[in-house]
Amino acid sequence: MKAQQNENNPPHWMSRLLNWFCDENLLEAIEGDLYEAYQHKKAQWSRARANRWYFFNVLKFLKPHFMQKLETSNGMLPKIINYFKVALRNYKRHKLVAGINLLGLSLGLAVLIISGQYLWHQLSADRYMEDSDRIYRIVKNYRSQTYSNLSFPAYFSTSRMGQLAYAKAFEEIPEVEEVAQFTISNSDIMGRGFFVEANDRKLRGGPILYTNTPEQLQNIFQWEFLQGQMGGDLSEGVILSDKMASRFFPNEADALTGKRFFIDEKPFLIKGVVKHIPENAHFDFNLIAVVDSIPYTWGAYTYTKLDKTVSDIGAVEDKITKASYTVTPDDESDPLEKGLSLQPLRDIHLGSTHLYELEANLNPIYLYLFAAIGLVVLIITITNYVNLAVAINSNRFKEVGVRKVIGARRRDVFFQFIFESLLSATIGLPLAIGMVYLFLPYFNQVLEVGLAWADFIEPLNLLLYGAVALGIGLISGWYPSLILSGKSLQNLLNTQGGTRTPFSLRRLLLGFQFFLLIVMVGFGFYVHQQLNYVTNTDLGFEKEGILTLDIRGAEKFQKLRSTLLTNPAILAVGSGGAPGNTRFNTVTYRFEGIQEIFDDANQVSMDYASAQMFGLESEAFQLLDEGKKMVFVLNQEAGRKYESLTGNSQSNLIGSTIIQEPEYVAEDGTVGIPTAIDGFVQDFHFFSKKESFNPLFIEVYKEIPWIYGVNVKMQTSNLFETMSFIEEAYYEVEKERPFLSQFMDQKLENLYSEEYKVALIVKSLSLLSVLLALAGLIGLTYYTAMLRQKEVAIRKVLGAKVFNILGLMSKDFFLIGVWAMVVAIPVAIYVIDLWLSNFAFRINTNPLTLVMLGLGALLLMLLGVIFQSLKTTAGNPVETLRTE
Amino acid sequence: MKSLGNLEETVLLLVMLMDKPYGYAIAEEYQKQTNQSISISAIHTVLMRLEKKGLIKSEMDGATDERGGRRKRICTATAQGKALIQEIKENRVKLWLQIPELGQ
Repeated sequence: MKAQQNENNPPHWMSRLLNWFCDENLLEAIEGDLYEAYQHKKAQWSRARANRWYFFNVLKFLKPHFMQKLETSNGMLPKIINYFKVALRNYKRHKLVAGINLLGLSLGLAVLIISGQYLWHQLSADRYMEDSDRIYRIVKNYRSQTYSNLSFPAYFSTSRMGQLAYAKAFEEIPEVEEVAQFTISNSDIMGRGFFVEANDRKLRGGPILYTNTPEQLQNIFQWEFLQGQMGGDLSEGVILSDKMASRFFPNEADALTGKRFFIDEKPFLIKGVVKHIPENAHFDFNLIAVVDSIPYTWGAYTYTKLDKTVSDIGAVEDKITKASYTVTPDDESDPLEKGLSLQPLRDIHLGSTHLYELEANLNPIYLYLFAAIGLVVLIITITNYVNLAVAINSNRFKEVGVRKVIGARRRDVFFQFIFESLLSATIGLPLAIGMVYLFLPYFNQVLEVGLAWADFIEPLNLLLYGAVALGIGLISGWYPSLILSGKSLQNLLNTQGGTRTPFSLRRLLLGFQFFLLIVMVGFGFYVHQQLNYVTNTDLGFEKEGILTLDIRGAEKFQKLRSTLLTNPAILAVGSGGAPGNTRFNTVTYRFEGIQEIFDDANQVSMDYASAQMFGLESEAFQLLDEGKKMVFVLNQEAGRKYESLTGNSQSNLIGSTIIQEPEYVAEDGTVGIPTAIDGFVQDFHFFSKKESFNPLFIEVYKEIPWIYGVNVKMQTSNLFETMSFIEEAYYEVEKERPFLSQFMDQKLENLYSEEYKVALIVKSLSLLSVLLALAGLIGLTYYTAMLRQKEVAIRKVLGAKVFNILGLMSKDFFLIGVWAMVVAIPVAIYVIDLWLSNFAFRINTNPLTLVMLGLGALLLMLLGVIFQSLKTTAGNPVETLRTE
Repeated sequence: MKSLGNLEETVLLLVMLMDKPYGYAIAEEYQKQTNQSISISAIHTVLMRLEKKGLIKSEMDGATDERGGRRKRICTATAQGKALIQEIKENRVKLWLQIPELGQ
């Protein structure tokens, strides 16, 4: 019966809506008419369509003359005016606390807005072009690693057809719409700086994107051209980003096509100007060089756009892999080749960690962390508001009582207090947006992002903030309103005020706030400690005063070295690889006498001067002193690997050989590249401490025959003078490439750039939450002290000392704080350990340290409480007792 | 003379020509006669206005199952309403007669 009725009736909630707003006198006839019409419509149309019709026709009755119920019976407007007036009076009366409350609310909102925008910014990376869901990067699986680029069929091939061979083969596949390849000058596979010159200005050319497939590239990424175009003809040329264009041609930036532009002294014609691509893309460039073949590289980053109809990516990956074998048939039988895969473009920015990434991508863990911290600040904001609101309003019982006597219903009182919190939220929002405006430049600088102010104040976003602010107002106003409206008349008008319950929600919230605070402070502390640990202690090598710079060619290096060593501030000059690297390709190898092949080792070469500079120690280095040209040493980790494989001591390895790349057999029958082991060197962190030690094969030369990196050790006094001396010396031997240098300290910090950002955010936000909590607590104390003024005065009259009174006032807070700490410490340890587990080498958490930190925070809070109680309860008790 | 809008005039005429007219029925009849659709809320608005001007009066009656047991607001034209519509017609006719090409 009921089901049948449901079938015939319009949806219940729509009728309720009508019932809610429609004038009672008109309702019956209107509802009847609509019902009758609904039955007719339903007979003609589908039920869903009839429902839609009904809904819109209900809405059409939303006109004042049908809604007299709301207008007359509730008298909304005068009531709201009264609420508004009372709220303002209340703010005036409690300037301090209301101010704290408003400030807290705005800060919380500001943090929320920024973190929301930041999350959106990161999550929407690389979606600026149409069809971003059909674009993939082709990555190569080789040995146990994945390369973000494809090497050219013949590595350093400079022939156009050679470089394009794979792309051409992929284009044959029906599912593949476009294939484009490029390399960026500051990527690991090119790794060069260039001078660029135009309009009589010579500057270091920021990242330059080299492409030999301009049209395909444009079809995939769809960059916005302000002048000219990418393709058109096959000639070489450059395209400037708009920023670059206005730097080089400040006065004539709007007609650049056809002008001359030099990269590395090579002349190009300007083909166009492109709008700088969004900052959250996974690569960046200032210039596009359209070239026949890409110089100075052994491979290119290869992107493809697939056809709309493709659903089985795995099948396309197989086809692409097969296509690559038509170009390099030997690969098919190579056991180390693991094929090509397609990586969705949208996934790259969020934590892709293949070899030779174009930029360090953002580990999604940090996004979650960011969201969590935003949430914590939000919760602190709300709890703070609730605590303060309950406190402020606790002496408004009489007002509520009088309202109720006059005839206010429970919901009127409830609405009044909700209205007040909504009002706070409404005032807080513009303040919050103002704060966002102030913080934004610092935020962008610290996190190295480019959030644009214009995005924040888009109408849709503003609407969203408004909704969020009102939501927060609603949530935080709910509990205070519920308490105040729910009290019975007797209770309210009783001069005693409310009754004190031992375990109120307010205490619970206070405890929760302490809890979050301790977790935040503890986390911030350990992040700080761990970062200090990874960059400063137990590195296994020396880093003080060592500068690394790039130079290529032995002749240039030797000239530079002899100039540098004439300066007494420069202690040593060496060449070769320096620690503090991001991962690069491993080599395959096997130990002599063991058949198993491994591929977890990295090969490094450096000269003797560098090895000494970094404090590497090995008995084998004596051989160099005795005249040997090169020694081959392993780190202890490689030795331990040998020990665990054979059970023999690692010293047995000395004199035996390691066969690198055993899969290649030379024409004379030699397997791989056998090298005799000369000795061992201590374990040191060649890569970041996020990674555990892996076997390192280090060739230490007296003089490296090929040079790509220079290490200079200097005295750290007069750093600037020495630095400019080095730069001058550099330009004496190298005029074509700009001077790029980095101290080891910076290099190590760069390895942990994400972690440093997080550390700064966590630290500043924990400081903020401490301040918020402190402010909240002071406000709260003020009111509890006010409430207990009479009690305190009587105690004083009866002989209590100030000390006893303070004890009385702070006992409550202290107990809550201690409880919160007991709960917080295990949680904090869990969270910290979770973060620390990102590092292979980490410090240990110590509960005692957290207890000390927690106590410190509590003590600070307690000081606030004591200070405020002292202020409120000091003075002559007679003053207080006399008032009635 | 009370002013009367075009829609008001039409609805008043419909009220007079129909048997026991009420909101939904008037909306349907309006559509049938003029070939234009109109929402129930518009009809109710007009009826309220006419009643306020004293041109019609209404009473609640005629609950049917089809309406879920709710009564209709049944309208009838008042003497004043009938007089007004008559007056409007006479005014119109007077004007019509002065235009030869519209003829008889």
